[in-house]
Amino acid sequence: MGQRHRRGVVAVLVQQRGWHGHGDPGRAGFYTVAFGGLGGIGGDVQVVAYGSSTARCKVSGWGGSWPGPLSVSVACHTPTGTPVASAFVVQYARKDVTVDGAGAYVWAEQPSSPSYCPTNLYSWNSTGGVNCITRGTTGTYDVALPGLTATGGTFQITAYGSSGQHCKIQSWGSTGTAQSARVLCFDATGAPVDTQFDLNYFAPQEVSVFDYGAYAWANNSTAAVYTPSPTYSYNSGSINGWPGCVGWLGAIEAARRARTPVATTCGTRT
Amino acid sequence: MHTTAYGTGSTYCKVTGWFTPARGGTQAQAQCYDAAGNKTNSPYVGTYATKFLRGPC
Repeated sequence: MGQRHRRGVVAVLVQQRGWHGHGDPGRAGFYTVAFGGLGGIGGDVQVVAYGSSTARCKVSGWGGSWPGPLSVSVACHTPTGTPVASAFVVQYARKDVTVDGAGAYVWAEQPSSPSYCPTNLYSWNSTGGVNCITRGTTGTYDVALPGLTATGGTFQITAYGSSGQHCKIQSWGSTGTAQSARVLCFDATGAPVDTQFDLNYFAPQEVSVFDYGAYAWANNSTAAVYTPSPTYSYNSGSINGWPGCVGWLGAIEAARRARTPVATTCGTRT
Repeated sequence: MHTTAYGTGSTYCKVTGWFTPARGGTQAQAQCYDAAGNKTNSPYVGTYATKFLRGPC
């Protein structure tokens, strides 16, 4: 399996309790995470809120100079757009000149532009293609990742900025010459809005530099338990020790948590 | 662990936890909301990466 991200994909879970941010500690909901030794230009940041509250979190900036730390700014909001303290998970990755797998990332930083193709260090495509973003209606963006034509893989989307907008993925697929993703962005009321976002694409069977991981397209939002599509889901399994488990996609348990036995390649799960 | 809501509505999804259950493997939990913050069913994509093995499954 190719290693998709270079000199360390890093991810941390920041719990509100015990967290000592140093970005804007006097303002609830705004944080700075320092990744030691990762200072540099470019890369991709993904953030997601953690916990049982209704908070959502986004990236509001990142940067730093090697050999110093990379500082990532995170902003969390209530559904109405009010800044709020929240735990979150933040992930940073930057391409490497020697060890890259198949994938792409792009910082879509021109939300009002009809169409543009960033060529800076915040845009990467493992095939060497130039990623392009085309704006449709308000808050709707089509992102083309040339050369990544395989069916499958997965996406991560995080809104960028300091206010309460959020973004998601509507759909994706191969056009035959590119991987095309449609991204939708909304304001705090749920209305479409133009805003910046970060997009990260993992080509099929790519998870991280660690080789271990999984992804799933949870496309059945009402089923109590189901096995996700093998085309859009992946589980690295274990390389040493439990060969029977390799390829098990896992069963997604919906909130109802019905205890329905699920037959998998690793046996029946309850 | 990361989640991104999928589909056309203004839903958003977050991670509520992930852990190693007794049977092995890794179990991740997500919760999705509508724009107003009400819990709702929503498709999403989830990704998980680790430096460590979690097994047996």
